[in-house]
Amino acid sequence: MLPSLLSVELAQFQFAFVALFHFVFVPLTLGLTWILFTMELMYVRTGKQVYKDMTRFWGKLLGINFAIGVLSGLTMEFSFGLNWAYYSQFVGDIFGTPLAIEGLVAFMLESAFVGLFFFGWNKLSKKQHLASTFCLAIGSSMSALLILVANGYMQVPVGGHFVWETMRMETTSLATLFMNPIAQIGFAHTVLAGYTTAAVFVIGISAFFLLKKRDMGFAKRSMAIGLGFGLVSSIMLMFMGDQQGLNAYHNQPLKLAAIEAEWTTQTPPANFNAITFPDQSEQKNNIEIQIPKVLGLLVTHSMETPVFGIKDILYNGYTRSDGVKVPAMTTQISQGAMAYDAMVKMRAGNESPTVRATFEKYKNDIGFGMLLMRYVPKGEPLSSATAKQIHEAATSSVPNVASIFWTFRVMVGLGVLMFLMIIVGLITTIRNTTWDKRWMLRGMLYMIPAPWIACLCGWFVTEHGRQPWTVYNILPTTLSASTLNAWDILATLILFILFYALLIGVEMFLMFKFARLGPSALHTNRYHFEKKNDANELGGK
Amino acid sequence: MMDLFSVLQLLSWVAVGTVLFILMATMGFDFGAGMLARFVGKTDNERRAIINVVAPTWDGNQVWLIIAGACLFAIWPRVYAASFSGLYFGVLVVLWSLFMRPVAFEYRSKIETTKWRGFWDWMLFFGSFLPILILGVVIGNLFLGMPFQFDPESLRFFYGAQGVDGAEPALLSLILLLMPFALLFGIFAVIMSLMHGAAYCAMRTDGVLYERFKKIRSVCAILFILLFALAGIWLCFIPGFHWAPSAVISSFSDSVNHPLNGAVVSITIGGWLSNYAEYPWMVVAPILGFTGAIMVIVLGNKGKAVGAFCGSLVALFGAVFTMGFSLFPFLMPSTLSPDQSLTIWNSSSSQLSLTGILIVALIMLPIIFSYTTFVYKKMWGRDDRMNAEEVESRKYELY
Repeated sequence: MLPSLLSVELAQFQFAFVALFHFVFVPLTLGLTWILFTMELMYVRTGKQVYKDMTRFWGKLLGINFAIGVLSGLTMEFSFGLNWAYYSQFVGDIFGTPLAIEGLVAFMLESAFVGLFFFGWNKLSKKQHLASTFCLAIGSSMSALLILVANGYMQVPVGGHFVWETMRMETTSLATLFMNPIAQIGFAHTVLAGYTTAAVFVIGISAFFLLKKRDMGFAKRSMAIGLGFGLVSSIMLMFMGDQQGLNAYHNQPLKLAAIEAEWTTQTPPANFNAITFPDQSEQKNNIEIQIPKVLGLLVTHSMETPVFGIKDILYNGYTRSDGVKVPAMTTQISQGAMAYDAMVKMRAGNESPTVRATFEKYKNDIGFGMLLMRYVPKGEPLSSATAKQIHEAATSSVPNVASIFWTFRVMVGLGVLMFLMIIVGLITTIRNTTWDKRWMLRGMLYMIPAPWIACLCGWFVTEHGRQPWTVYNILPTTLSASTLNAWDILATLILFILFYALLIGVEMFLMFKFARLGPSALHTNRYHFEKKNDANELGGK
Repeated sequence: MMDLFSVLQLLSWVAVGTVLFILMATMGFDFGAGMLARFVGKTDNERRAIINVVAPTWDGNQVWLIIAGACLFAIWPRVYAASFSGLYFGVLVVLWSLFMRPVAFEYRSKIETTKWRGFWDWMLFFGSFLPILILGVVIGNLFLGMPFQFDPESLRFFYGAQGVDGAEPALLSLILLLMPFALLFGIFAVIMSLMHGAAYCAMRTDGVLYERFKKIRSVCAILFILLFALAGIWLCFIPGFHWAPSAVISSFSDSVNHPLNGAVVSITIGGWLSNYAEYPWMVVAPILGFTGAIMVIVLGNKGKAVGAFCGSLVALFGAVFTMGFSLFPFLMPSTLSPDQSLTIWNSSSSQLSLTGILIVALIMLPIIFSYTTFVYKKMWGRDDRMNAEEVESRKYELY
C-alpha cells in the first residue's frame, strides 16, 4: 500500500520548510568563517588590535547564527528517515555514503575547532588560533561539498544501479558518485553563494556603523574586507551559475525547459522569456516579453543547438547534440512499466529467461514505470495502463513552471544587483568617498536580505525543478515517503513551524541587538558605547 | 566459513558499536552536565562554571550523534528507515529536545536577566534529559521487539497499523514505547550519563562544585550497578529472539541481503542471553560494566578524579557492548513477523559501500582522535579548573 497523496504533499511541504529554514543559516556560516580567517590573517600579519577585535566581533555574530545552523542541520539528517523512509532504504546504499563521510571528514573538523575559535584566544598562540579558524572555515566548506555530492545524486544519479533482489539502488562506483559533475558545480555555486551572502552581510552592517558615524576605523576596515571578498566570490558565483545552467541543459532538459517556460522547441538560437505568465494546464505562455536569441546562447553556448521544449520532451522525443536519440517520456513510461512487471514476476520466483530479458532490456526506465503506480489500480500490472493514463503520468511530470520561472528570475536579478553594489562600493572605496555617500550606505544596509532571498529562490528552483522525482528519473516523490498517517505529518509540521518561529525570533533579536551594539559588545573599552573617544580606537597594538 | 561480504558486515557492526561508545563517552558527559547544571549550581556563576566545563567541546561531541545517525543511514539503510519512521514521535521528541542545547549554550550568557538565564537553564536540562531518556527507552524496546513487517513486492516498511486506512496516528505508538521494561533502560541511560557527567565535572572543577559532583558521582555509580544488574535479571524472564540461518541461505551474498531471505527466527524466554552461552567470552562486556562502576566509587573515594572518570568510561564501554552482544546479530527484532527481523546479515549496504565507509572511517578515526586530543589539551592544562571566581574574571568571554 502506498502512502496517501495528502501525506506525501504534507511531507514535501515539511521537507521544503525545514530545508529552506536550514539554509537561512548555512550560507552565512560558509562565508563568514572565511572572512574571519581573512581578518585574523591580517591580525597575525600586522599585529594591529583592531583586526583581532574585528575577528571577535564578527565571530560573535557567527556564533549566534551557528547555533541554529547546527540544530536545523540535525533536522535534515533526521528528516530522511522520518518522512522519507522508502527513499532512505531505496537509495540509502548510495546516498548514505557521502553523509557518513561528511560527518567524519568535515563536520567533525568544523565543530571541534569552533570551540577553540571562541574560547581559545588566551590558550593558543596567534598562529595556532589562526589555524583553528582555518579548520573551522575549511570544515564548513568541505561539509557543503559532501552534502552537494549527496544532493548531486538526487539530481543526476550516477555511480549506482538497480538491484531487483534487494529492491534498491546499489553503488557501482564510488569514484563516479563523488566526481559527479553536477555535484562539483553545485558545490561551487552553493559555497560561492554563501561567500557572497557573508560579504553582503558584513558590508551592510559596516554601512550601518558608518551611517551612525560610530567606530569608523573598525567599520571601514570591515567593509573593505567585505567588498574585496564579495567581488571575487560574486564574479565566480555568476560563472558557476552559468555552468549550472549548461549542466541542467545536458542532464535535466525538462527542468531547464520549465525554468525558462519553454513549452515548444524554438528554432535556434532560442529567444529568452524575460517576462511571461505560464499556463500549466494549457501548456502555453500568456503575454511573452522576449529577448531574441539570448536563451540559446546562454544555456547551450552556441547559435545552432536547440533548447528542447517541454512538449517535445514529453510526447515526441528529441535528438541531443551528441547524436543520442532520447525517446519521448511517454515511451519511457511504457517501457518502464514492462520492466517493473517483469521484476514483480522475478521477485515472486519466476525464473523464465524471457521475463529476465524484458527486465534487462528496459530496467533503466523502471523509475518511469513507477510513475504509473498512482494511475493504475492496485493489483493490476503497470503495463495494463491505457494510453490516456500514460499521457497523464507524463504530463504531471512537469514541475510547476510559473513558480520556478519566477523564483529563478528573482535569484538572478538579486545576484546581479548585489554584484553591481559591490562594484560601485569598491570604486568609491578606492576613491575614499563611500563614507560620505549616505544614499549608498543606506542601499548597502537594505541590501542585507537580498542574498538570503536569492539563496532560498535558488534552492527552490533546484529542488522543485527536480519534481516529480526524489531521485531524477529513478524514484518518484509520491513513492518515496514513509507510510504515515497524514495527521501525524500535519501535527509535526505545525510543531516544526512553531519551534522554528520561536528560535528564529530569538536569533533575530540577538542578531539585531549585537549588530546594533557593534564592537562595543566585546567589552574591550575601546569602542563607541564604552568610550566616546574614537581617536584612540586604532592605537592598540 | 565467512566470505568477504559478511566480514565487512561484521566489521560495520563493530564500527557502529564503537561510534555509539564514543558518542556515550563524549556527548554522555555533556548530557550529564546539562542535566546537573540547573541543580548543582546554586548561583549564576556556579551554573556558568558547569556550563563552561563542557562549553568548548560540546559541539564537537554532538557531531558523534550526527555521525552515528549518518552511519546508521549508510551502513544499515533499512534500519535507519524503519527505526526513524516507525518510532516517529519518539525520534521527534529527541530531535526537538536536542534543539534546545545549541541555543541554550550559545544564547544563555548573551543577556543578563535572571528570567532569561533561568529559562535557558531549564531548556538545557530538558535538552539533555529527554534525548538520553528516550534513547534508553528505544534500546529497551529493541529487546521487546517492534511491530513491523515488509511488503513482499516493494519491500515497503509498515510499522504496526500505520498507513492502513483509518489507522491510529503514530502518536499512540510513542506511548506504547513506555513499557516498564523499556523505562528501566531509559532510567539506566539517564543514570549512566549523570555518572559520566559528574565524573567529568569533578575532574574539571574545584571547591564546592567539586565536592558536590563527588557525591553525585558515587551515588550514580551505585545506582548504575543496581540498575545494570536489574536489567540483566529482567532479561532472563522476557522472550528473546534467536536467529538461525535457514537452508535457503547457502552463502551470504547480495542476493540474500534483504529481510525476506527466508531466515528463521525462534523466540524463547531468556533467549537474549543465549549468546553468552554460545560465545562465553562475551561475558567480558557486562564484567567491564560492573568493574568500571566499582572503579568510579573506589578511585573517587581516594580523590582520584581522573581515575574515576576513566572508570566511568570503562563502565560505559561495558554497558554499550553488553547491549550489542545481547542483541547480536539483531538490530531491530520484529514481533509482527519475527522472520523479517532486521539483522546485520539482512539489512546492510552493499559490499562496495561498506568498503568505502570502513576505509574512510579507518583513516579518519585516528585523525579525529589526534585533533580532538589537541583541542582538549589546549583547553584544559594540567591545573586548569573551572569555578565561580574564574567565571567572574572572564565573564564577557565565557558562555
